[in-house]
Amino acid sequence: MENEKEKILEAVYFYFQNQKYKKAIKILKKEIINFPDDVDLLYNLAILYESVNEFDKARDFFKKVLELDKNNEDAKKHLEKLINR
Amino acid sequence: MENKKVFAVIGLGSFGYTVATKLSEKGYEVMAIDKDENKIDDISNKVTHAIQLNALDEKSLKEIGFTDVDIVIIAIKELATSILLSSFLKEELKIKLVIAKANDVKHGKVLEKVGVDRIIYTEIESAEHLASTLITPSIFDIIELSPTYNLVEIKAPEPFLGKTIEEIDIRKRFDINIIAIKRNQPTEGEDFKLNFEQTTIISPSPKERIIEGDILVILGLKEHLEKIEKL
Repeated sequence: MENEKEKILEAVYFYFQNQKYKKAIKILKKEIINFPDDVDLLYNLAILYESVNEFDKARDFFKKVLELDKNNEDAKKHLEKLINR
Repeated sequence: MENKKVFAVIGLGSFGYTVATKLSEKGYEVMAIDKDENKIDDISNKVTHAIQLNALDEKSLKEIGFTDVDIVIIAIKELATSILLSSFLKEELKIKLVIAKANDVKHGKVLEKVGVDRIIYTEIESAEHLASTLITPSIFDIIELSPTYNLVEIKAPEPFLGKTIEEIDIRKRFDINIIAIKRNQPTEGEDFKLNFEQTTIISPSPKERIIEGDILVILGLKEHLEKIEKL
């Protein structure tokens, strides 16, 4: 799984850097169906939603990250910013 | 600090209190007035002068004189007091700029008649603002610049994506101007962890390409902006 996850994350990173956010979201959503508790995947999806200004979805995924990893400082920071919008 | 405007805020409910303290935080001289001693205590160390006074006490108002005050803001809910005070400040004390908060349109109309220069409808304005942003979720913010002109922050509409401002021909087609673009710029991260920072492109060139995630800051006539919002 680790190998496959790495490949997915790499592809998502590539599309993100090239500002092809929707494409990156599509890939991640598909992968999250198979690995619904993977913090790295969930966190990146939240960031992607935030990048395209879909704040409700971004909030939901940052919350999910924090349910699984309550000390995730980055997720906390982003969630706080989104709640104060 | 010289030539900075001096303000007086009369009525220290939540609106008046916020206006007074914000102006003071920005370094302006503010005279805050209310008849309630507790309210004066609350604000006394946050503004230049805090004065306990009944706004209908004409003698004391005359004594204060407001000679150095450039702008008076009346934030009194009580109808009669707000109207009498407005008229007194305009006619007797000849204050150049009086701004008053109106509870509703009727109140506003009377304030207009007694010479108030600018009327603020806080409730109506915030309700309209909320309604517009709820109906059109692509709108993030609206600033009314005049009865006909708005400044809006809007999510870049789908048909604009991938095109330059020139290609969209936004000025000709919609008769509006994009004055800034807020863009989420990806930054590098370790282990494929995504991150971005928001940048603002002021006065974007016609060659600037609109991309996913962009927020456009647009200036235009309200009716023209509505066309964009519906895209």
